[in-house]
Amino acid sequence: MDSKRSLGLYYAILIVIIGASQFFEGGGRVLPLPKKNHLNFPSTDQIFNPAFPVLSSGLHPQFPASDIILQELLFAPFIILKEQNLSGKNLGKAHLSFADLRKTDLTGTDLSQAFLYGAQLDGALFNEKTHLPFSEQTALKLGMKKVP
Amino acid sequence: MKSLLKELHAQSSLGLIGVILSVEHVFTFIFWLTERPIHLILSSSTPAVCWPLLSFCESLKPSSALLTFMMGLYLALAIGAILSWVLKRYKTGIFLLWVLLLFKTTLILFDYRLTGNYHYIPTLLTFAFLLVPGRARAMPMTFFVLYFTAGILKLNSQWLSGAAINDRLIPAFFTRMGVWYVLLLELVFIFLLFARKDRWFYFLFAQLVIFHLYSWHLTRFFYPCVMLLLLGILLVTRPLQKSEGLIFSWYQCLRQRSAVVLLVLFVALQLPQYYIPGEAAITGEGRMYALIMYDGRTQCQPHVSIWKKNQDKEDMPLVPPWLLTRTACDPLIFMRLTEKVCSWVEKDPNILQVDLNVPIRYQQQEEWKSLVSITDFCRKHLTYSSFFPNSWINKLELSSDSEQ
Repeated sequence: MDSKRSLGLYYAILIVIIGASQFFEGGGRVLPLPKKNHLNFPSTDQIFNPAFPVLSSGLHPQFPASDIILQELLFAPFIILKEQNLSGKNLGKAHLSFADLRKTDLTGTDLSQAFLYGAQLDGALFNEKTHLPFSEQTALKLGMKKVP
Repeated sequence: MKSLLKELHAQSSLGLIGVILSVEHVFTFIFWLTERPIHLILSSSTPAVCWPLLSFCESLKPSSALLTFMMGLYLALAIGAILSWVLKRYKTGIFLLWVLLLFKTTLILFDYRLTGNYHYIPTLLTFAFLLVPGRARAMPMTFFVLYFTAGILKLNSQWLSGAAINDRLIPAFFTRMGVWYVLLLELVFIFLLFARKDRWFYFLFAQLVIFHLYSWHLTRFFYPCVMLLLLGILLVTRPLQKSEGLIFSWYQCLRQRSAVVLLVLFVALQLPQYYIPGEAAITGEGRMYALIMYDGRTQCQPHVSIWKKNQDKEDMPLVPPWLLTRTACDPLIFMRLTEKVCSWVEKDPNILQVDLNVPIRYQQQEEWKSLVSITDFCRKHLTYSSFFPNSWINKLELSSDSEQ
């Protein structure tokens, strides 16, 4: 058999095996298809992932004072910001990606940098009780995520 | 390029290897959009984990818009390369393969977390294809070297006990049998790549396919997809170069200077993990540029302790996203993140010092051991050596602990 035919047959068999497996119970577990990964803290993935032992269920990460955290590049999950009153603060330099902002008061908060460079609010959580300095539509456009 | 063009004109089916190596870049594109989202790893919100030789990588990070453009360009180049090979525009195909290799390597150099065996292996195969004359012989030889080295790297107690495999689908007994079978496959059966009889070659080929299909649920889609794709190269070269035997193939291959250079470089990159004291799976030292095999599943609790003037101490866990299972406890990562912490702590006069601690253990162990313990990190200006021992990393041997 020449190279082209054997190669074609080989890839065709693989495609059939992988494709057919998806129609069987458990096929998706044996040959899982790509999943689109996101970052949402705290997520069940990370709670049970041994690479994140500090986020074990029931444990909250400890941080230095929030004023220090908010100065610049910080990367940890901002559980500490949940239900906080950040009204009127200057968070211009803060990176609030994936921060938990549920019930947080952000009225009058300076989020100008984040507002300009939307990436810094990407993935931040908010809910109906969050006092946002802009509309919900804007928040969603900035990549924030509305949760119950 | 001349020798490759000459071979392509003499054996046009070699062009299929160009197609395969170009398709691999399309797979990488999909991987970087899904399971390892490059736009999040390189996001300005996430601190970079720079390679040792590129400690300034944070400043090189492309903006979100530029990265989107680069990814679009990457896909366009990969598709262009595939078309060039299919349409037998070999010069363009070769040029685009080089460009794709450079492009992908550049993206990986932006952040240490983007590395992985699944990039290492196709890169080595691409170099062999582009540089080593006698492709029909050189490509199977490259596969042989890769699998055999993988087998050698698996000769450790973590692999042999089956502890490295976190399989939930099959009973533990079969996992223990399986790990020995993989060794047999990679260290013994792999010689059948040069079998004179086709049936033995295809026997081995089928075993390799099954092996990668099985590994799918452990490593997820990308790694096995890449390997299954690349294995197609063997089907291209087999009809072109059979009945030579291993020794003659070795002899012919190593007559080429480029083959010797590639082989020596590859072997040299695997060695530091052996001559640096401590267990490389724990310390991470010496294998930054090596193949990384399944070894022990480590757990760690990296954290910095921030001491304040008012005698308060705050512990801050270092939990960067997008770590790989096998490099999740790599000291380099925590060194980089602590450097980042230092950059904002130094602006706060209330903070006296920052300590970095990384307790570590294998998943099945109870006792934590200190991998890194550095007081007053910010004033020490540590460096990381990829090829020699780093004095600030404790040379642990935890496998012997778990055997006791």
